[in-house]
Amino acid sequence: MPLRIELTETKPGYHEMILAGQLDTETYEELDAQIDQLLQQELKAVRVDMSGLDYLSSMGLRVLLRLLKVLREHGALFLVAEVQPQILKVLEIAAALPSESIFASVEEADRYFDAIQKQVLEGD
Amino acid sequence: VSTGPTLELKVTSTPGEIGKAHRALIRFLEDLGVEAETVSAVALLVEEAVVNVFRYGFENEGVHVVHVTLEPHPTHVLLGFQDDGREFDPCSVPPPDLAVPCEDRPIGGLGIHLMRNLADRMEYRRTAGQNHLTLRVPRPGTT
Repeated sequence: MPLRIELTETKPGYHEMILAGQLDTETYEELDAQIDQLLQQELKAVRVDMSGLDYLSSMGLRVLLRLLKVLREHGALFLVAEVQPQILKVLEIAAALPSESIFASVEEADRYFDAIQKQVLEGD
Repeated sequence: VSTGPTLELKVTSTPGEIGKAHRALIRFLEDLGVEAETVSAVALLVEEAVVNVFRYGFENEGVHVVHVTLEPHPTHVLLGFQDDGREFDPCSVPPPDLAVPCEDRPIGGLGIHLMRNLADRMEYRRTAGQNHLTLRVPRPGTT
């Protein structure tokens, strides 16, 4: 199955990405290209909905790690939601993401982002 | 010695071949009633092992081949890989330092790390100018 990527900026700097299908040797370049586009925009957070992603290999993982690195360099958050068990297993084996980046639902991830934003605004 | 059905695949280094191999192995394992968790691990291991050979095994850009065999057993699935690329023992690759944040670790080695963790046995030998890699994938509820 190919990879499907949907990217929407729902609030200033908050990007929602939907990944579905397979992120692997044959599709990773598509996500790489999307990351290049993201870099042209304001970045506070990227929330990835993985509910439709059913296959992830090490090539795909490398691109997700590139995204994580880019976001860290921008001081932005990387939030991942609704990860299927076989994908979670790959992320865990690779110790790829801190557990606080992984959320059971997109709503939970969005609430976390809103809470962090509120803290930032109150801190200003 | 296997008494059950086996699947033999010839995977070449042309685009789309790994996807084709995936479709064939998924159909084969599902028809035998192999559980989804094992099918998923087998698909991933086939990609990782084959991509490693294509990436590191050859100097030239020509079309190369890895012969893959799948042998399902009640407690595990045996995967065999054979190629005539340069000698490369994935078992000799040291594991990554998991204490270093993943995005700061050197590129490479991630696929072999996944192979080591999804297979409960990984064996390599070099004979007659060929690399032979065997991976044993445990099936759930059998360990």
